[in-house]
Order: sequence, then structure tokens, then C-alpha cells
Amino acid sequence: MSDYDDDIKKLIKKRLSAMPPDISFSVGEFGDFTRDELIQEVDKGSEIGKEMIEMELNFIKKMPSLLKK
Amino acid sequence: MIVVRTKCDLATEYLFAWTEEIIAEAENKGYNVNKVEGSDVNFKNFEKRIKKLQPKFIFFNGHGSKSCLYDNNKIELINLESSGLLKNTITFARSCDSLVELGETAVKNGCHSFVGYKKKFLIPRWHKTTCKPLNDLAAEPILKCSNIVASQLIRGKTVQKAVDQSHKETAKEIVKLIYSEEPYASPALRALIHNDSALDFKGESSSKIKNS
Repeated sequence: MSDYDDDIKKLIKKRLSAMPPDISFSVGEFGDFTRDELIQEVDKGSEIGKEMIEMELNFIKKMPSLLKK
Repeated sequence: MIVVRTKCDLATEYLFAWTEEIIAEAENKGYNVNKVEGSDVNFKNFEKRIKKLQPKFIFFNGHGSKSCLYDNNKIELINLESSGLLKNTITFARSCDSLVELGETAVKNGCHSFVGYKKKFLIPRWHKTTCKPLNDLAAEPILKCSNIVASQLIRGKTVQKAVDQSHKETAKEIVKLIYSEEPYASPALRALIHNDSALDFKGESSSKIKNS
């Protein structure tokens, strides 16, 4: 999985922080993460953090075509 | 068919609960559904059941990695070395990553088709409904869209059609969520897009289950 620069991390953290605080994500065998824990993982550059960055980037990329449907 | 349901944490509790409707549908359609659960989820028992029952369809629910599927104690239930056990089956592994290496190797070793995820399978949870997986509106679209693969397969559709149908229904859910103002919509939307992009299969696209 790629390493991401600080600007991308900043963007993703901002986007994650817009999610409601009473939601967690189960990320397979890594367990459960609250919104704030996910933000910390992005900061650390952990595998979970990178997975979250990919999730957000994927979301941003797909949004224009999804809105056309 | 064999349904493996692990239950060792919140994520697997969700998978366990959401598999119930697939079991019911399969039983209604006359399938002999063999459930592998609890302490029965171990390699020795799994191997024994596969050899005895020679299932056409195996539906695994639990944790996985690129190269294996795990039991309840994070011990490898099936790995690259034992993937030949999936020979002559259609296998749907609802787990993280396992399509990448396990799926590919299983197909090389005779599995007709291996449907699974090539990235992490994410489940969003809304804290106020955590103890009621079937009532969790954040998780619902994710598990519903994933269930479509199993449901289509037991209805006799090909692997290609089952996966395509899941993508199609996911697209409809995504559009609903985009315009939703509910608090759970944005995490559900993210997980749905992520999981949908990870869903794929290895092996024969025209494989289908013939229930006899």
C-alpha cells in the first residue's frame, strides 16, 4: 500500500472528522475503530490509516459518476 | 452446501446474523444446509465435512487475509496449502482480502469459482444499535448488498450474474444514500463504495450451483 503525503492525510482527516462520532468501522481482523481512532491511524500512517485514505480517495473519485446515475 | 459462520467479535457477530436470511432462503429452496459454527469451526472438522458432503457451494463468513480464512481463534481454517479442499465447489468468502492469493490458488487447485474481496471488508456500526446487528441502519446496506451474491448463487445464477447483480443493487443503494440526510448515511456510503470495488471472483464466470 502506498505512503501518502501530509496534504492527503490532512484532507482525509478533515473528511473523516465530518462523520458522526457515534459510528465505528469494523476493519476485519484489526477490530473496531471509532471516527477519532481512525483519524489517529491516518496520522500514524498505519495499515488501517492507509486503508481509510484509500476508502476516502475511492469515494471522492467515484462521486461524480455516481451523481450522474 | 456448507455455511461457515465464525463469531468471535462484533464484526463476525454481524456476519453471523446477516447470514441467517441466506440459510433460510437456501433451506426453502431445498438445499441441505450444513452449518459449521462455534467449536466446529476448525480445520479437522471442516476437512471431514467437505470430504463427506462434497458440497457444491461453500459460504464462509469471518476474518481472512490474502492467503487464508480464519477460525474463531485466529487459527488458519484454510490456507494456500489446503486450498485444494475447495476443489469442485463455488466458494464465496465474505472476509477481507482472501480473493487476492487464496482465491487464485484455490482456483488453480480445482475450485470452480472463488468469489471474495480483494481489499478489507468494512462494516460501519451505529453505536446505538450495536447489540442488534439486523437493526443497524449503517451496516444494513453493506450486508444486504453482499448477501445478494449468495442469494443469486443459490437461485442458480452464474457467478458472473451474482456478482453483477450485487454491483447493480449496490449502485441503487449508493444513490439512495447520497441523498440521505440520516447520520449513518455517510459512513455507510463510504463502506459500500469501498467493499463494492473490492468484490470480484476468480475462476469460471459461468459456474453455477445445480441443486439436486
